[in-house]
Amino acid sequence: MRSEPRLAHFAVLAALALTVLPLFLQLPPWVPLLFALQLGGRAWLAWQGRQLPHRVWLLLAMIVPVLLLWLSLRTLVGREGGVALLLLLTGFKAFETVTLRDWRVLLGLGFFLAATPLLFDQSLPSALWLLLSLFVLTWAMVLLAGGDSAASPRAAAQALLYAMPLMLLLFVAMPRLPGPLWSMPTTDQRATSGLSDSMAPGSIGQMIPSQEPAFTAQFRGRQPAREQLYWRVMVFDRFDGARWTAGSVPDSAAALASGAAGELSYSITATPFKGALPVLEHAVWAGEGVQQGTAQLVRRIDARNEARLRYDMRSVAQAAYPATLSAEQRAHYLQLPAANLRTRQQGEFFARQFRDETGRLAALSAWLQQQGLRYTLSPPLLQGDVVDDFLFSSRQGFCEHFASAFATLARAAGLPARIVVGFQGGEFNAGGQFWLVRSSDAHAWTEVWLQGRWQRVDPTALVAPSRIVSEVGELVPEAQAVLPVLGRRPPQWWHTVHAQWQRAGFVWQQWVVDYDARRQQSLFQRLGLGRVGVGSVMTILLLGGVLLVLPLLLWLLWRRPPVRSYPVRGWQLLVSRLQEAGVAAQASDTPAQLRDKATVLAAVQQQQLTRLLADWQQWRYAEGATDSDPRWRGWWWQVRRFRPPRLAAKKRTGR
Amino acid sequence: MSRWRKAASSWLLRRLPRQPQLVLGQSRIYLLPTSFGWGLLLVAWAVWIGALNYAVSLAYVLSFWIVSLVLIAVVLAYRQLAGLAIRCGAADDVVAGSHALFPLQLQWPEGESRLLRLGWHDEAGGVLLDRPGEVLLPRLTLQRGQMTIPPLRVYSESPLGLVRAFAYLRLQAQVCVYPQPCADERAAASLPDGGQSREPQPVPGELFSHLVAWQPELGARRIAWKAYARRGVLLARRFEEPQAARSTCLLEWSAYPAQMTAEARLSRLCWQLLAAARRGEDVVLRLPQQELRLTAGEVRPGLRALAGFGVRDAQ
Repeated sequence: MRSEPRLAHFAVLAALALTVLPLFLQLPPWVPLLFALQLGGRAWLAWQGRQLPHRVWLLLAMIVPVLLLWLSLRTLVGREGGVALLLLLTGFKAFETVTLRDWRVLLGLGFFLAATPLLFDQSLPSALWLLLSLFVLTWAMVLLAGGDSAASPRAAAQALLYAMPLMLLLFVAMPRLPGPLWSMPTTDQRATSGLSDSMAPGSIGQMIPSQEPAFTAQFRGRQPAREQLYWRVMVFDRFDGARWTAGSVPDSAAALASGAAGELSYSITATPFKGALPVLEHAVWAGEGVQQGTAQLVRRIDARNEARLRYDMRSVAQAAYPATLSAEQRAHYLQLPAANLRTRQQGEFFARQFRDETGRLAALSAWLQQQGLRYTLSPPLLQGDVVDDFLFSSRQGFCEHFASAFATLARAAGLPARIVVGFQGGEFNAGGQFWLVRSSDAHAWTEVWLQGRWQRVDPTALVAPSRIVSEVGELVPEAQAVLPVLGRRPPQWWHTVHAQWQRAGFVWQQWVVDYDARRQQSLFQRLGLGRVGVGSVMTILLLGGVLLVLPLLLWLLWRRPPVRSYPVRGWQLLVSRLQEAGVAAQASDTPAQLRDKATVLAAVQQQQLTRLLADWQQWRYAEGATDSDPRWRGWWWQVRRFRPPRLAAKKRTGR
Repeated sequence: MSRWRKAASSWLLRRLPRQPQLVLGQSRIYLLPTSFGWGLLLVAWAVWIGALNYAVSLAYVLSFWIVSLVLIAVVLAYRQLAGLAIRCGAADDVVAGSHALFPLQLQWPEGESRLLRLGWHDEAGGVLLDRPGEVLLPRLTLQRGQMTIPPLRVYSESPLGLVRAFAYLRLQAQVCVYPQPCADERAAASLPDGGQSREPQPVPGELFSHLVAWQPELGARRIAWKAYARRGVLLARRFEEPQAARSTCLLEWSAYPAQMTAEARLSRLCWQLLAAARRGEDVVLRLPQQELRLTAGEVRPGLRALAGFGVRDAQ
């Protein structure tokens, strides 16, 4: 039976509401809430069969929310502003939908709205949500077209399924643009959990309890050891007594030569941290889209683009790289503010004591280890001379305290030193063969210039070696992964499920979200099609069309012959079996005629035939007999097994 | 309908042969996106622009899925009409100025759900059909004669409403349209030799004669329910009036003033013929080059003769 139009109208409103549900997470909550209320109001009017408000009232009512939107976002364009405005306008549009055409316009807007949550989030869950939205929108479309209400979900699912191969083909083949058409101001209100452009006490510590993924890395060939994974992001070389910042001193590093033994080849998918991208210490080669800058740091070529990027790198996992320092640079790396007197005296003591720089560094490290420092994520708050307080009174801290103290100490001892901030370690996903680095892996360490090389010294490793070898969570309870609600350590199966989910997310990220112009190019090359151009796109579309879409079309357009029931099929089979055996049987014969004709067969076969015919007659003409009787199936199988042997030619005279 | 569309559809109709029945296939089915289909393509384009600008892969998915949906809708709409078998049954004769009812039989394979509309090519809308069967399409008759069934249009926007599949059909079926009876108060001439009744007298009120439009004063007992079920029009059954004796009535073409038009004559003759039938008289109908002798109750050949007078077989 056909659906009544009101059901279709409710379906359209429900589809719209469902589609924009994820926007609750992205927009000021009152905007989607107002939208939901508008849809609810429209549904109520439809339910009660009431008149819609006059257009003048609608226009007047629109002013207030739009004004409110302007006040809260300060914009009506761009990502947030545009989406919120579109939402409000669609809500008001719902109040002037009367005819079928109006409802279809509203539904079309719904399809457009389905794209808006994707501007904010493209993870696997939002893809599943998109699928759900598409299904509900298509379902509403079927109902609007007058489809049968009971069969409409099936019809919608079928239409979407049939459309899928073509969609996939277009997704792979349609050329992508390497950059945006026009740039829009993005007012991202969410605090980015990541590295900041300076290091003050606590700035890294606040990241450590967060389990949020920071970036992923995939190594080709050999996997590195966990303790080799020092991901370099930023370098800080200016110290004001409390805060380390990046100075602008050019580094005259001799580039490391590529092709060395033990070189690791990998690709990283990361969002830039203040323009800087993570790279394994120390890079020897940078792939397309990124460049190596001073102090072995890697940046995007289009440095102002803050979008996620996948880039290839090659590194040699080693603790030092060669660099020459001019006298001016040397002075810069020895600069210290007047504060932290005790630390400076300690450093100067070492400078006097050990003339040899290597020995001096070893002595500094040994001294730090003997201070009884404790690794904790909740150290007491330090004020004033933070380095002195840390080294000589509180003695509790984590990587940034250690790094800051050691760099100060080294500079005071006459060794050029600086701080490197980045990540250390990561979680290896064995199923997906990739490393997931989280916020909790954020780390800071020190670099000391010694004998023409910047030498990595990780004071945290000196004091708490287990921090480097194992996960931070095993050392510090605050950074342990906990179950969301229960708040205790998760069981083993949870880890397995979690790893699988991460793997799915990684594959998703690699193949869907990051499928951009560059990746498309590399796929085309791997397929042997060369550059993305008119010719290669046409080749893919034609080839894919023939392989994927054409069979579907043929299947859809093929007119299936009517399904014959078991008794009909069985009867025809029986007649043809008898004919094969040499009996002059015909499909139009009655059972009695068949039996008469089959007297030429052997007695056993005649018996079988008699039984088959008796069943056929009984079931075919019984009271309330139907062709869908389950017994017919068994009967058909018996006929299939009935194979009378071929009669000798002389007996085949028949009648 | 715009001028261009009109021109296109008349061109389509001109090249269609008339067939008594037909099965729709790819040569007869036309497919065009509806305005909703175009609108959705526009939405897909907008989403694509957004995806291009913001480099949102999933928005590409959405955009391409919408485009694919519109393309697949072409095939799905085609399937709504493909394999549809149509023929027109025999239509009952009507009086000019009333609606002729064409019984159209539509068949399609069992188990396929279809939703289509059948109507005249020059009228919007049509009858909605969701299962095989017969529909009666009414068409106003304007003039007496043989009316050929006008071209039909069958269309479907199911299942998505994005693409319209339509086909024009020119079937072979005709309906006989009687002249509209016009009251003629002159007494009809009687034949001198008429009136031998050899046949047995019918029992009064038993012999069914014909159907007329039902009026409330006739009473519910006279309603022809079968005819109502078939046509949806209330008709009353007329019975032979009891007659004591039967006379023969002479209806002549030439009995009217010379300046009277053929149609006016036919209308009056029609009225006279019906009146004579009501009275239960035998009739002799004299038309130029044609003379019919009709026994009482045998009114149909007379009406047909009037309907077909001077009409060449159309097409």
